[in-house]
Amino acid sequence: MSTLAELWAYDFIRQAIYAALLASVLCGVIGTFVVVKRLVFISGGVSHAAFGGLGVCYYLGVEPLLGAGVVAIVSALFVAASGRRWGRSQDAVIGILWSVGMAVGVVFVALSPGYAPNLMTYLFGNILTVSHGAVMATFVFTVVVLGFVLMFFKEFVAVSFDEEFARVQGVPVGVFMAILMVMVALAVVLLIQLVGIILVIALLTIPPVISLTLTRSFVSVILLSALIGAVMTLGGLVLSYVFDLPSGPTMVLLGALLMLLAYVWQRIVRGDPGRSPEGPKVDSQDAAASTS
Amino acid sequence: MTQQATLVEVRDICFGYERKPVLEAVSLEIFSRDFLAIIGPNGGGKTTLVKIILGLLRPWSGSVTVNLSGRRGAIGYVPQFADFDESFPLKVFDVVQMGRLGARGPRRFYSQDDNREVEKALDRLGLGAVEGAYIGDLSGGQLQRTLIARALVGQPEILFLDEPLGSIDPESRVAVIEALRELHGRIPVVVITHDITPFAGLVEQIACVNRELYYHPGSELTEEMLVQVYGCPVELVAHGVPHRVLGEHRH
Repeated sequence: MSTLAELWAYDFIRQAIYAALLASVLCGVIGTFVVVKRLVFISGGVSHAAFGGLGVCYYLGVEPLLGAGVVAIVSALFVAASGRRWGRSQDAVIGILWSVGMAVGVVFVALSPGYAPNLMTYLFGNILTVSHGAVMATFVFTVVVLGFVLMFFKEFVAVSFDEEFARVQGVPVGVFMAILMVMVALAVVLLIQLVGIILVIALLTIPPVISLTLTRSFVSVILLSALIGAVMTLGGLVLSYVFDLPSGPTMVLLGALLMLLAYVWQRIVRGDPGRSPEGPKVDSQDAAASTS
Repeated sequence: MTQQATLVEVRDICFGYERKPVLEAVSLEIFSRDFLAIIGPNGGGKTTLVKIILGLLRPWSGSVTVNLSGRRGAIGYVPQFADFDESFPLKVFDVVQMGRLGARGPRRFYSQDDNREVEKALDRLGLGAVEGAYIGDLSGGQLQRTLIARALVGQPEILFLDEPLGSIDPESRVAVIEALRELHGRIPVVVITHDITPFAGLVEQIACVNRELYYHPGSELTEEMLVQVYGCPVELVAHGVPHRVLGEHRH
């Protein structure tokens, strides 16, 4: 606890803690949709493509996150549209965006005069360099995301579960998918500051995946993911300070450790072999119900 | 026989994926008291035709006219259950509740009325005991019944079902047939199936889809008719009927 009090005295640590808590909420809400709607690979492609925009802006001397944001949104919408048009080749489209984005970013950073000290920060993140402005931007974005998801919760869940049924029910599926993709893109860009491009996927996927082993109601998966996200980011921050480690990778490794613990708890303590197609079904209750 | 309204009119539709045509010059009318079975070989375009009627796919040419009330949720749709992600964190109740999406409209949470309708639909399909179960824990038949309950809870004016009896347990089979019998006469029912035998006594019209569509009105399922209908190269597997492969058809 004295470590925490010691940390709290620094302004940049306070900013980092605010950023970590906001990131946890984002992880919980958006990460859950990313995992259940299977947008993990898309998110990876978007975050790496964003590096292209980041590199170009770095070269031009403009705020790099601005470029990353624009490229992330455009590529997220492009990938979503390509899924509708080309079906199975969406996979390849993502792979191309992923690698071309990285290549553009690296080339432009190399073209920039002088040494590029921030490159590692963007790739692996450093929560301690998060600015006050970035924290405010993340706060506003988090509030907007929460508003949208609360207002259209049943539509987002329905679109994630069964797009075709939602469309037959008159839900504008394309609009909701576009909103979801833009939220993923912006979340990715904001999370880049914390853990960097390479590790942002961990922050979106590890908390929901742990939650799904512990609970399976949609709302509790979201809430638990936010909590696990907070443990990951704040715990990672403290551990990185205590052991003098880079903060981003420390958060991810803490998440991986939590995932391992959740798995062990599920397998050994609860004795649940996990879900399988041959798993236990509830047929006995069913028989009772249909004979009544 | 009373005058029946034409609820769905499909006129001269062509459609394909990529450049390969799947449906050619398909026309079909569905009337208010129909129980229509759409049969035909795998890849013949049965599901594609229904998705065009539902507005999920846009035909290359031709038109679809749907004369329903126009309210959201007027069309009930039961997709093939095998396509579902069983690990999705939802309970049976939550899935059936989605059938109220159209009725509820955007920016509002589900209401008490919605939940009452959900309870009624669950009871109709014999799912009361498993309403709190996660969909990943259901048997195939239970999931199928959940999807039918989801379609019924929106009080549809027409119901489309895609292979509703595909690999499900006998218990569920009975529940599904009973639910369809109850609906029959109130709203038109359209069933995509590879085997019409379980629907004997319900089916009144048969459409065979194999790129083109061959329509057979009438309620009698005679041997000649089966042969005529399965004039397309299709394997007929039925209870008490030996596994047969019928010859090439010439239309």
